[in-house]
Amino acid sequence: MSLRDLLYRCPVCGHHPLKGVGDEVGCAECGVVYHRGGAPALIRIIPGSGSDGGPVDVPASVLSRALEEWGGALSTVSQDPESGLKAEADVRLKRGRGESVLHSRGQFLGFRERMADTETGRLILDPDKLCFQPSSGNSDVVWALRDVRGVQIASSALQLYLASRLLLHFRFVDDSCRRWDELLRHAIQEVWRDEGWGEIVEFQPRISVR
Amino acid sequence: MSWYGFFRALTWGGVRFVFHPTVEGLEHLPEDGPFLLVANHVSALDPILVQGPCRRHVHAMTKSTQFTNPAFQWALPRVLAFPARRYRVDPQAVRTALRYLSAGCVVGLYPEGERSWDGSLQPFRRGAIRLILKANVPVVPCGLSGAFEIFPRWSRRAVPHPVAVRYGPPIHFGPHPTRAAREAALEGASRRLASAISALTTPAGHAIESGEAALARLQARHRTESQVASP
Repeated sequence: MSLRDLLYRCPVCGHHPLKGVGDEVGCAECGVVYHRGGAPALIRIIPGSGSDGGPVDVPASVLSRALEEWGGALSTVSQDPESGLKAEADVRLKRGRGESVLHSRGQFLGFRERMADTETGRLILDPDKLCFQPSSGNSDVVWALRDVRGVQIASSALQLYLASRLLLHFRFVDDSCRRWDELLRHAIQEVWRDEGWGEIVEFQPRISVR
Repeated sequence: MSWYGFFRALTWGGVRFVFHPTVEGLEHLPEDGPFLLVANHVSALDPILVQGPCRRHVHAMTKSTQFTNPAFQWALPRVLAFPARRYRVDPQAVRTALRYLSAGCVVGLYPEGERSWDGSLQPFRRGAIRLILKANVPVVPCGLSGAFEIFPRWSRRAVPHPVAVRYGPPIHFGPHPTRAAREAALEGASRRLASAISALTTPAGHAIESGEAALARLQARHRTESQVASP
């Protein structure tokens, strides 16, 4: 969990990505530092050196809206008219290994997912597919976006559910899961439009169309 | 004392000691019979804040990933939580919720499905509203204010801040016995519930206005400085 999950680009100048971890991130472009400071209700913005004026406190909802005004996550990636959008990030991947049944005092409660061991590597988003390049040197794994059936953020990880019933759980090493959630939703919507499957109205728990 | 009572006393006692929450509208919580307790979701403390003041035991629908940790796997069933797989449609979670309600129990639900990133109320999951309509039991809305400021989802630490828990009058959506009836009522029920929960939360009007003005000043200053730097 990091403030960078919320602020994947600078609300003041629009630069991305912000640098830093935990409750403090900074913009290399305008020098502004954002941190969860003295006023607990707010995020404190400390202007860069050389800039007149002192720190200001701004609610998270205002900063969140400012990101949308900068164009949202989509504006953080290059969108070549030829090749479409492309994004990359280092990730820790866990794949689902089925589900186990939960009982409590003899009563059936429901199911929970079982996950395999963590794999590290690089995740690459293309207009029509996701590619995972394992750092172990194993061969790349590719998942077509047309096979994704659900997208959701779980804490600070991004979960994808595929038509093959495979659950993918990505944790981003130095990127924002919220940014990737927006990027993937956009990319999947484009794929569904191209396939003529309609306008997606909901991504969670499953993709459903109007 | 049951495990539920033990954990409730421990966690709610701790939260009361540290954050001194104000609680309003307890009279709206039915003394008996089934009902759904439905709240906005802004922080990891919400289950304690929502269930702590309630005298009835609440079976809370909880994301299934919470049950992967061995400690939580032991504790969560003892505080009457039951899992819902959020990455796929989970009819079993719906069946479990309906089973508890038909037994006269209370079921807790966060219809947003996940914690808010910025404290604002998010759109409700259609599946949650379908469950509410199918259950045909009173729905008690609960509004949390200040919990986001204590422990936002993007932070790893909680800081003291005034927090308020407000329960509203039960909402009766009426019977929707068929899928078609539930689908037709979906949007209206979602709006009605969002409006009820919003009315129970404290709007941060002044902070938002002053924050917007401050951010606009910073953006304008940056534009000016950029123009000076690159004539």
